[in-house]
Amino acid sequence: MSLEVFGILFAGFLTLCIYSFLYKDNAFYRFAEYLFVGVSAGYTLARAFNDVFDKKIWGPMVDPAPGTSVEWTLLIPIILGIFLILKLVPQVSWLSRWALAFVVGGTIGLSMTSRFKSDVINQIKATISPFQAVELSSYELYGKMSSNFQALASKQGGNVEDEFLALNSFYTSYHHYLRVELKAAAGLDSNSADFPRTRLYSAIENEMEARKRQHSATAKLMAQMQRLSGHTPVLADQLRSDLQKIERETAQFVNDSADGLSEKEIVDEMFGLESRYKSKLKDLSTFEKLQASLKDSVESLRIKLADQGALSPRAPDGSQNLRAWVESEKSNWSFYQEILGTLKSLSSNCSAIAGLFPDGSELSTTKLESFKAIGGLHTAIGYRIKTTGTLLEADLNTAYPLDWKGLLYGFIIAVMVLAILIYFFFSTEHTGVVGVSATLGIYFLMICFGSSFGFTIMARISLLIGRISFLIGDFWNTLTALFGGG
Amino acid sequence: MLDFIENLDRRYVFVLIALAVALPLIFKVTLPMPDDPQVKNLYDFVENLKPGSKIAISFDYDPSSEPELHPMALAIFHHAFRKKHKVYAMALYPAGPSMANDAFAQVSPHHPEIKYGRDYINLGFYYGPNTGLNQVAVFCSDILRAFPRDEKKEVTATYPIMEGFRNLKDADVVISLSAGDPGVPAYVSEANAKHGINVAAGVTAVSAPRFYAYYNSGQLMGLLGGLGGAASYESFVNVKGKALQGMGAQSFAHLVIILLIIISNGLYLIRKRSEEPRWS
Repeated sequence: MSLEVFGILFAGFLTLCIYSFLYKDNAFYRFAEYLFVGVSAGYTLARAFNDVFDKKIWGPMVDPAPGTSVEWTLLIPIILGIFLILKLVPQVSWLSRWALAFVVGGTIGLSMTSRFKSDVINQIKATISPFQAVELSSYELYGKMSSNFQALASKQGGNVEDEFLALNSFYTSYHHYLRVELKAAAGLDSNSADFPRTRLYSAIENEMEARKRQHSATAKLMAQMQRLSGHTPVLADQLRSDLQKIERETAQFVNDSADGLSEKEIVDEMFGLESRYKSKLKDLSTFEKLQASLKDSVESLRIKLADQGALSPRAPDGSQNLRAWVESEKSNWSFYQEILGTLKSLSSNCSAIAGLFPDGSELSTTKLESFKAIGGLHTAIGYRIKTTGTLLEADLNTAYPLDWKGLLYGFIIAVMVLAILIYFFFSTEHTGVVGVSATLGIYFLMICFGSSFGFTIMARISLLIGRISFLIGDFWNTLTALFGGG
Repeated sequence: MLDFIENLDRRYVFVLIALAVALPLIFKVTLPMPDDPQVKNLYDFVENLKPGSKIAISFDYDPSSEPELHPMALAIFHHAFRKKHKVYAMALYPAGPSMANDAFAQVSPHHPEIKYGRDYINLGFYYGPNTGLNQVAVFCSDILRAFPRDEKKEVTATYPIMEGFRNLKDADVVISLSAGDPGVPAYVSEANAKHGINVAAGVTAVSAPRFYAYYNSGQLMGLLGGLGGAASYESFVNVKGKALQGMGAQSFAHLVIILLIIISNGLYLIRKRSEEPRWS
């Protein structure tokens, strides 16, 4: 019987042992239960030993990877880890509190910033967003967009990352404004008196200006990339010269230095030299691949940027309705997105190449962050523009001055949140209006618990499905194959 | 009759549920799957990524949640490999790497062109506090520091797939397949809220209601809830997996439970009207 067959049969037996509890408590159930607890604890301990002690402590401290040195900074967590274990020694158990303080402090520090944003700020934002969309008029959104445009103008001449961040904010608010304004103005002739001509035209002028800023920021980014590209022959020479140096060192070691060394020392030295050689060879191969695609990408971007010069935003003229105008503008958005895609991949390539420069050189990793940040930023802008493009297209099919469905949904959610909060507010007696709200809160809570219960049933049934599938599938097939039945 | 049903041994109910689950599985009863918008969001996103995009999948579960979460992992693997994306597996659960290995072993025969280290890597398990925040914070700053060696104990940096993947910010999307903590909350708080990384989740049905709040606030770009979510993804990817097979059994079991709830409440009302209630 192979180990796999035994595993399937034993798993089936244990499954039946556990389900036997449904009839009544018995020794088979207890055996399976204790085995499960024991195996889980043992597995977790073995993983912790393997993943923490072996990979993170023993490896880097005693047996570092080829080409790396001993990481002495690991002594700090090692000492703190020992402090934790000292909890078992009453005389020095107080030391464990120091280690715990680090763990608790670090976790709280992270929670304060990230959890507060995801679980409080963003949830409040989402709760009130349906009202926000109704409350903010196109006039207010125009104001927001204008202030973001001013912020963008103030970044001119600054570093390229800040310029892209400001562009991101401007484009987000511009699209938000445009969406609300166009929804309200859908169906209107652009010559009609109600048409928001002044605001809309002024916003489009802002975008024309922003497009110029984007051109100049992209040109700066290109200059940085070209500078990096200009240094690539030096890097190639450096990598090849490093390879030759290692070859010479190896030859010298084989001819002269190996005399008088033990066999282990010779093997260690040769292994070190071989590792260094392989590492440099890999760098060179990576570099050659990246360099080829870098040239292609730069050329592609150069052509696209030249084409982009002819495409600038155009205000709707008197004879054109808004939908037709949006349709014609859509090609601009798509083209812009394409450029962003090329910029992103180019930034990524440049980052990888810059990473091959030796530490401390002019183009070493310290300068990489801007490339990476800009890469991410381009993705964000591209995604937002794409979303807005779709929204514009959909929203203009019909004019909906108010999102009634969203408003109703938001109203219900807000009432539920308030009622439940009032239920848990015990500083005031639950009578009168507070009492009614609290009672409402209980009903809402029961609805929530009911839906959670439904999901819980679904989860438990899923587990049962998993086990029964196993019993009537693998387990039964193995049994019948083994005993010649079926 | 009333007395008989009221005093019915609960073990008959267990048998009824077991039959409601087993019979559809034995007779392979399948039901059509309606489109789930939360699932479709993730499917569309992965579908529209350019070939070679980077998808990080966190295996934050163990065998006890396998029936719900493993079909999601298999369907996502199929989809990602079909679209020629690069997949990075990591885990906040000790048993996570084994689950990733098993999923890859099941999927790889269907995609013979996929090569370990070039198209897929199992980075392993990262030990840390139960909140998961500390671990995800390290993933977002330096993945090689978190996983200097992969699950096979080889130096991670030497694999070609790691080129251009320095931290989670380089991933196009991070999908946490999570049975609880540590898992989705850590990725939402640290990766999405702090670094703006696209995060999606596949979760057990028990925990799904908790995560709809993240989905509705736009912090999760897709949410696969329980076996239903897994079946929906399988349906989009056109994979006849265990989740789609299980949905028939799931629906019949739900039907039986609903009938039992209606019968017991009806009996309660009848008893209440006719005589003194038994449950007071």
